[in-house]
Amino acid sequence: MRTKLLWILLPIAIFIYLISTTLFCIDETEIGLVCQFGRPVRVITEPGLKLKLPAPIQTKILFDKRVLIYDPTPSEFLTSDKQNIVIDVYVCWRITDPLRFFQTMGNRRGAELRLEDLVKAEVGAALGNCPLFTLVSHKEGEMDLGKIMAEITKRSDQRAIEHYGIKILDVRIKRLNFPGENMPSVFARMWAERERIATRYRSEGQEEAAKIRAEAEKQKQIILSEAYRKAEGLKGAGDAEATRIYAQAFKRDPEFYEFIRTLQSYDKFLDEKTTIILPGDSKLLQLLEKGPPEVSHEKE
Amino acid sequence: MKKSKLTQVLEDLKVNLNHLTLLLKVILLSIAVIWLLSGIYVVQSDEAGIVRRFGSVVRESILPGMHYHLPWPIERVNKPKVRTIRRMMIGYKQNETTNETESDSAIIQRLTGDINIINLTILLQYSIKKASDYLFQTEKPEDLVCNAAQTAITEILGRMTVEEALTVGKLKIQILIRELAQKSLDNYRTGIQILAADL
Repeated sequence: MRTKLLWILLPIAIFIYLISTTLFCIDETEIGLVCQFGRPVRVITEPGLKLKLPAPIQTKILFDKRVLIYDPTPSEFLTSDKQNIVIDVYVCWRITDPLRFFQTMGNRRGAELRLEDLVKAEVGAALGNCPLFTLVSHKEGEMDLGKIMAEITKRSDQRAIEHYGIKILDVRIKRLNFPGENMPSVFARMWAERERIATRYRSEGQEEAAKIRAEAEKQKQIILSEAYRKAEGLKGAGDAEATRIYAQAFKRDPEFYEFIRTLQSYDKFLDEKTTIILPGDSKLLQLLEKGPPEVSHEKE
Repeated sequence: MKKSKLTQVLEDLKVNLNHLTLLLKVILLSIAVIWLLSGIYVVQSDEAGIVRRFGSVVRESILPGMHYHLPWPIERVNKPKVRTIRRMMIGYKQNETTNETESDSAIIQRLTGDINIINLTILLQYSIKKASDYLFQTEKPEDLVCNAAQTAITEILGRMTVEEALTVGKLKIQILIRELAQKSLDNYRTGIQILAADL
């Protein structure tokens, strides 16, 4: 019974094994390399169900066909005008020649190591030829980062295709910045510039303020003198009017006028300290000697 | 002699198969049925279906509804959500519970054209425009979106003065980020469409 069972299971097992090692799938995202006794014989780029001789006669190796990203840590480079900058790039690449790739790079990890060297070298070379203002500048026509990146991409790609069987689609600079040690000086410069601008605004403002004040002062003088002129004019007119009214009033009774005026002049020159010497018949003394004149009651 | 041994083996095989209990047959049959039924799948209204047979795409842009595909390992289906608008925050993370934002200073510090430093964070909105590209052309399409956007910012800000960037240039920056990043993404065939970039 046992051997009978063995006779059934063994061929089934062998059959399954053969199937699993002869038929294989290439996924949409994969590219396949078939090796015969270790020697590469076939490259398969189209996805689907494929056939090969069973292992260990032929073996398959699968590679990723997709666009792969390599994102190294940022590193420092020197521009042509001796500025230190930190650059963070990312690389888009794909395997185009799996045979070549397998021979030179082996696997993904090996590829990334080689890419690191290659890309760093190309970026360093490109930047060493450019002054800082081609990377960062607000003036027209100076900054040309796009062109620099395209240049790096092209040169990296040429080297990669030649040696490694991969195509570098893009090397792009994600970020560029000054290294940490330079930051304080950059910030200090920024601060100084802001200060400078602020001071300029303030002095401009003060200039304006002075102008406005001077103008106001001038206006004030004009208004005041105008007012003074008017006031004097009104005063003068008022005085004239008062005098006219007085004259009219006194014209009605000249004697009363004389009486009042005499009293007023007494008030002015007669006081304790002054000694006045006048001739006896002076009109001025008449009031003191004779008293107020008769008042006629009809006059009104 | 050999031939008779082979026929002997085959006869024994037949006899043994008949001896298999009914229960075993039922079990095997139900496994086969379940296996066949596993090919039924539903595409939701915000998804699109793609079927690969032995790895190669045979049907794409499958409309919502119930469909059938030959079960694994013959065919398999992917159903990416193509209608949803996804968000990506560049330079900051949002804490789920407190809803605060923390920024990553390494990413957000940027140089302007007049060698000043400003901090910039972006909120990107994007959706999948071509599912087969999104799934099979690039390794990590979301990473590419992030990287392309960052490159765009570097390029754009490197041309502006700091005053421009902080005041009148904001709209220009947002439009340019979309343009430049989209160009890169289409170049790599990520199948992603950037809808908006807000600062």
